[in-house]
Amino acid sequence: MLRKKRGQMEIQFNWIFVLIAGALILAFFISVVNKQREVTLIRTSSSVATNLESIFTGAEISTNTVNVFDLPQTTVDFECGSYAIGSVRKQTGDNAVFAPKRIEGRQMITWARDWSVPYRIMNFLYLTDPVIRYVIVNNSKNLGKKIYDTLPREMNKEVVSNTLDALSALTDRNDPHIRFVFLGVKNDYPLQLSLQNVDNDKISAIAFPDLVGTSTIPRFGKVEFYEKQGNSFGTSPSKTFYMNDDALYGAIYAGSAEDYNCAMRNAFSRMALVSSIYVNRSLELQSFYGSGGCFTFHHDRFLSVLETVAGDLSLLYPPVNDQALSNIQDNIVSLKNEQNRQLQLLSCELVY
Amino acid sequence: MGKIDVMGNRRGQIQMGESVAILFIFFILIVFGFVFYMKILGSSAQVEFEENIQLQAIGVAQRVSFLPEVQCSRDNVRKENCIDLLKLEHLDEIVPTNQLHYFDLFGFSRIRVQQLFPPGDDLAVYDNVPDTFTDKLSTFIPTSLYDPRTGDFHLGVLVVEVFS
Repeated sequence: MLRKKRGQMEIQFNWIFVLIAGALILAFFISVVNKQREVTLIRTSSSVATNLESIFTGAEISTNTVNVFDLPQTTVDFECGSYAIGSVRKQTGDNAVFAPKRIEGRQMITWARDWSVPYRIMNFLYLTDPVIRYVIVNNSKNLGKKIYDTLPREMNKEVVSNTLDALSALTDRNDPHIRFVFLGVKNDYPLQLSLQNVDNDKISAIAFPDLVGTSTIPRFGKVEFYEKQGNSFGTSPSKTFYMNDDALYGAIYAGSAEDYNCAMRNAFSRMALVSSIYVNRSLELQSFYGSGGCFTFHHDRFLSVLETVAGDLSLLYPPVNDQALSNIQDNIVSLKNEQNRQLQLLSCELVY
Repeated sequence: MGKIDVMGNRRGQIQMGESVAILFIFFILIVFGFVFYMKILGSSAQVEFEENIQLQAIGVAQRVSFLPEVQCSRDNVRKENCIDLLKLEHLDEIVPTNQLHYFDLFGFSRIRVQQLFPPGDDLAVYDNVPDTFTDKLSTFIPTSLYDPRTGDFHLGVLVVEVFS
């Protein structure tokens, strides 16, 4: 009886021993696999981040280039001054990067444009997802076609007339995001029925009120960022300004007014730095020439204004009104015509 | 009766000992395998780390080569591999006051221009060497140096040293 009981205990003990040892081994392997999974995720994210950094560096130096890059199945979240891939966050530094809030497709389109006002300041980098849909609502002078042709052909874009019929014909294609671009004042037509059911954060609009009835892009103007609220766009947009067509394209790409303003602040900060170099250079050349035509046309009258106004805008963008932008544009024209062109005619060293 | 009991006990102990020994060897093998795997992982991480530093060094060299603050231009047409000496002379005035901005561009690095012909002084572009570093990668980029006062071009080399 006692031996039988002991035998049973021995068998039970063996099973308990096997169970504990098995559980330990299983737990060990599960923890290793989990750890490995986390490490692999971080490594993939960090490798994508490194690749993106190289892309950004390339885009900083080459101008007017469009590239389409393959991405692993991951989401890239952009915000002012940084982007995040999974848990890996990287800084974009003081670059002017215009991107939607999120890129989650398998590809990414990069477009770099030179921002010269009137001398080269930096490259504007535009990023988007080929599946994000851009609907350009045309104006009466067909400016939409020009903008359509300038934007990279890899983009998912279309031009529609600013009529109720044309806008009603738009249907939901299950796009991750739809961005309406109004070349003029945003109309008050309600969204087409199938678009009304789309989540609010999946549809946004941007309007350029100054583009109404123009066939060219003015040197500066207003920009309004709208968010979808129910079956139409909100009535109180975030208002800001663009300067030159490069910034206008930036507004089309930017996920929000805050991100756009952040990129513009970076751009003006850089403009102030580069302008200060040109101020010193021109004054140095003025003192070198000492007298004569070259001396006369080397001064810092226009450059100093550009430096000061850009410095102010780098701290406070958007400005209260377009006075500062108008001031910059006037000085750009003066610098071109009254200084650089005159120096060229006299065969002197140019300002820029 | 007692003998059989002792025999049974001993057999049980031997069986238990065998199981423990097998588990012991099993865990030792796992530990060996794990150490080997970690070694491979470590070496591949090291390779990746070195690649990243090299990429960083190339990035810094590219950025400085196309920096509007020093690049030559005429009527906004840029000249590649050309540094404007007048711009460069004033860069050292703005870099210290905008350290954070240039740190974003160049990180921990030292960038200078050596004038080779005619022989001239070294000109600093950016200097931010960390107190301690384990690695240094140097890139030398032949470049022309333009003096807008005289209109002369000199021969120089852009030295980019990236520290990590």
